[in-house]
Amino acid sequence: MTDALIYDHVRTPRGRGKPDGALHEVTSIHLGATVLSALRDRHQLDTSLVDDVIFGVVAPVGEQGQCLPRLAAIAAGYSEKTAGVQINRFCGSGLESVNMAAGKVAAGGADFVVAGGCESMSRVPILSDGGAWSTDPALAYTANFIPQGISADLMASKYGYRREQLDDLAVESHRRAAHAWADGRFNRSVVPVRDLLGEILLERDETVRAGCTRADLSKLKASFAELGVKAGFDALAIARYPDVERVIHVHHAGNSSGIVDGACAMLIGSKAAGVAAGLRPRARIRAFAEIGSEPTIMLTGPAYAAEKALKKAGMSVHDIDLFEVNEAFAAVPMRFAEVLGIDPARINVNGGAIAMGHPLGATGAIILGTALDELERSGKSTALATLCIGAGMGVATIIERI
Amino acid sequence: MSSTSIPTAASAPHVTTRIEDGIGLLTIDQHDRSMNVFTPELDRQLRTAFDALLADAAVTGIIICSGKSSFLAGADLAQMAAFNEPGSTPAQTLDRISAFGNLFRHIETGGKPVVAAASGTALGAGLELMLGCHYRIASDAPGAQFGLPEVKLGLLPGAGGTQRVVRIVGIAASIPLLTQGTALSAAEAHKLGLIHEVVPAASLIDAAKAALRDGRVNAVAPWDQKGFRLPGGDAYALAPTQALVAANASLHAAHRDHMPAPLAILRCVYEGARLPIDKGLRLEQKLFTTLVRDPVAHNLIRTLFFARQSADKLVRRPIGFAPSKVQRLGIVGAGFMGAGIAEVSALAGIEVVLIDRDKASAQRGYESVQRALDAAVARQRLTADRRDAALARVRAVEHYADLAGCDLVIEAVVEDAGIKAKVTAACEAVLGDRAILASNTSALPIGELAAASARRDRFIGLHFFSPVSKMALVEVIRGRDTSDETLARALDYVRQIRKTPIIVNDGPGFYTTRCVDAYLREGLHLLADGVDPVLIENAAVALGMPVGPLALADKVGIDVAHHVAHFLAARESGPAAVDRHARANALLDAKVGAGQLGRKSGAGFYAYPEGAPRHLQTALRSAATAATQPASSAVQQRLLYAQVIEATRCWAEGVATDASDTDLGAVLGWAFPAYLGGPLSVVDQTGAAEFVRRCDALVASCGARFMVPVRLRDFAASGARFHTT
Repeated sequence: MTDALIYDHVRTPRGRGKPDGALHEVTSIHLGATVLSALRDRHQLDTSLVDDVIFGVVAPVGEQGQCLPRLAAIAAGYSEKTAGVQINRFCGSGLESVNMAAGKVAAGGADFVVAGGCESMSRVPILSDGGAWSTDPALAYTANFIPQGISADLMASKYGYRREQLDDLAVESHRRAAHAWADGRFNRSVVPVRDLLGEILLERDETVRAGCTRADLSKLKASFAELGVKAGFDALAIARYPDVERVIHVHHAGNSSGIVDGACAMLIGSKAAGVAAGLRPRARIRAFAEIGSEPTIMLTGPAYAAEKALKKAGMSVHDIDLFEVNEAFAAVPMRFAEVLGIDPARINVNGGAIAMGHPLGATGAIILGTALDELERSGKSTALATLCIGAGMGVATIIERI
Repeated sequence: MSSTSIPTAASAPHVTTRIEDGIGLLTIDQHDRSMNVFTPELDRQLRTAFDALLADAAVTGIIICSGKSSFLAGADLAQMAAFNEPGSTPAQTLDRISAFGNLFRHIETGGKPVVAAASGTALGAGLELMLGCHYRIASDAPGAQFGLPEVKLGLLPGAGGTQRVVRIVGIAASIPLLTQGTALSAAEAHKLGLIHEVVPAASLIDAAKAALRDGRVNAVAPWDQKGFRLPGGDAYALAPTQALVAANASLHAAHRDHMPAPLAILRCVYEGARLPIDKGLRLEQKLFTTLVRDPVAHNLIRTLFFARQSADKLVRRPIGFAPSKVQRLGIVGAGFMGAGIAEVSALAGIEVVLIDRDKASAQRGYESVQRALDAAVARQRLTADRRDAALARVRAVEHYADLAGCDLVIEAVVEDAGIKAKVTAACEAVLGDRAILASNTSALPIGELAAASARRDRFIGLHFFSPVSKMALVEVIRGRDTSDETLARALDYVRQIRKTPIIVNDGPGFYTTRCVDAYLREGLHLLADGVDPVLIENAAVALGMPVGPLALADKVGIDVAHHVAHFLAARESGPAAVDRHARANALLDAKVGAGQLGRKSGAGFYAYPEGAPRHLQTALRSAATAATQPASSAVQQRLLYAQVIEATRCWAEGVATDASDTDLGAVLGWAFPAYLGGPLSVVDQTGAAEFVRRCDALVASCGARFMVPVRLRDFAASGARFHTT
């Protein structure tokens, strides 16, 4: 087994995932091709050395169907020798793509793999791909399906997180993200997206709100209250968790991840491949893990996945300098910190998806890249990235700066 | 013009055939029934008659109609038990249940146009027969109902109902129709497209013939035609998807995992709608097979249908007494219950005399009746005319002398034997010899109350449930001295006011009050054991009770629960009795002492903050000290078995002697989960020996109160069952 090393990563800025978003006119292929081209161009990389492109695409239908990464590689002018494969582990896909790439490289099955993801939520909305989970009656019953927003509210109710605490976490996400942008912390990894005339459509994350306050957020109505009561999802949550008296609805658009368009590409390879290509590695992938967890509460996977990865790495929580825990809903990083006893000051230090958005298939690779950049900026050594995932899963990756 | 009448069976034909001008008319009329019902014999006769018309070259069109004022009320439920024959394989069951549906498909694909002409109500298999015909006409007879109510008995419309309805109205509209079993009027069914035409009753057959003659009847069903598209979009389209997601969740939430029928129906819709019709019909039959092999359907049929039907027909009424009617009813005690009894009696055409301790109280009772009737008019449940007529029958009076001429007097005063005795004497001083005196007591033994009566043979218990207008049950308690005639007349009265009677014998708490108390008590025992009250309440709902024991205590009033609990405790002794009552009563004592009487006092086990949902008292939650909280299933078992054991004690003591009445009374009286059938059905289905074994285990782990009566132990040892199906 050989080490899997991260050589570089690039991402697009994240555009608002609605028709008025800056990246709405950009096809998914173009988003994907943008990051692939940028990764190649900054290193003059001979793409015939790249065995595979593994991209997370969570709604692989319409223009995001038909194995988008392969098509995006062709569009980007990669060598025809570069294969492509689309994967879907829901919100964890971007990180899963990194883990799969690392596995291929470590096993000697590939020398260079580009991992990452691509999701235009404004053009191919979430749930465009259908699926049986909530619609197939037999499955919905067996899985005790409830929508993820209600899972988040269930978590908050079960563990006693108040609306004010969740809103404060959201405010902090915006504050940290705004500060990180102002401080140039994303300059190395973010590449602008240009239109067909070469004009810049977007060069910064579009949804960060620098002056966001708790008062602003307190005006927002909880998003899932009506659904919970009228459709019976609250009752189903309590059926699975009979120690909860009532599901208190506390999540809303302001303390949940933003819907955005974005893509990311991360170059992963073996040491030998890097030497041959004249590239300097930036980090070593120490360990990775995936795990299944209880599907109704759905979003508790990160702590379990992190523990599993730490065990594989022979590390403990205290050995990790920085954490990236995807802010799908504010309750998620809150619960993670509580379970593992981690100071929130070490989690999402440059803001998270509440401020900057969660382009489903790409986020996992984006947050790992964010952690890597911060390790280098701060001189710290180790980072762990993890995401909660639909249908109750978790995925985690531990890296060590070289 | 030729018209020939062909009887299709040598004896008792269910179907007769006439041919008029090339149109074959099949008339269904089962002479031994007031409404046609689909039976295997009808299936055979209809198929034979239909095939004869198919084979007759002179017949170009077919009409199926009924010789009764209704069309056909459904499949014969008596055969359902036979479908679940022990030892039969699913494939064998599938084969047996397929007959009706296969016939309807045969009618649909026979090649000749078929019109269904419904003179009136078509439910279940009756509507399915119509749906298998190419054109459907209904008469505009008022009160006719069209629907597929199988879900209410744990089944589904397995003769093509789900597959054809979804292909006519689409996924979103089909779901509520099939999962609620909604009955539609002819006009509503027409609006949805389930019926093609509604015509005056007299022109029903002419309209059917006209449709055939005018060529409006296509002998090929829409779903058998090329290019057929599901109305509203398939299961991938947005609106149908949203309807499915919402229905999956709300039905699962409402019934948890206790009711297989709604889920099976949703599967018929989701999986069947995208299949070619023949595969869809087969899928529906397979899902029906799973339901008919499930005890839940048999529990619902046994209790909600057969037990209810028997009770409503007064099968236990003593024979030899002419049917009677109450012309004038006296009610002593014009409070909540008295006013409710007055309301339903007046609506049934009975003259009501209301008396209380003074004129003002009686007048308040009258006004309460008035308010209830007004509310019913406002909700459009009652016409203003009927309201006026009912109210005119009610009189609030001041003197007992005004009770003269009453055939029946119901006393609904406070639960105090002394006060009731005074009422009894005052009534009997003015009542005629034949008048019956009934008590609405929920717990005081009738025999003890009858001790104050000069004519104990005319004394009986009529225990109503709250609220009277909504609750169908009346627990009729026969005192030791109550005569057969009194019982017969009391049952006649219950039928007159269109309620459902169960008959029990005398004893403290009779049957229903004892069992409700047992449920409540076990909730308190769990609390005393340090179980989290949230878990107790949620487990109760998970079991299928409408509310948890603590919420119920708050609702009936902790003072009321306290009174009943101490009353019952005082009536028995011994270690099992102490285990049953002591800890629970201590908790009730503490609550009463603290003035926390439940909802009416603003706090009980729950707090009732203004403008916010109720919540369990925080002090109660922090007092839940059990280190390991039990699993919900363990809590559910205790709450269920407390009720079942109490019911078996009533049976063992000769209070509840009829198994049907015992199960029916539980479901109608205190919302015992219908999917379980009733307390005695639980014993049967667990197997009496296994039930006893589990109770013994609970005695060891929880206390002597879980001891079963000796009579049940013997019963179990003999391998007996309470019900035969």
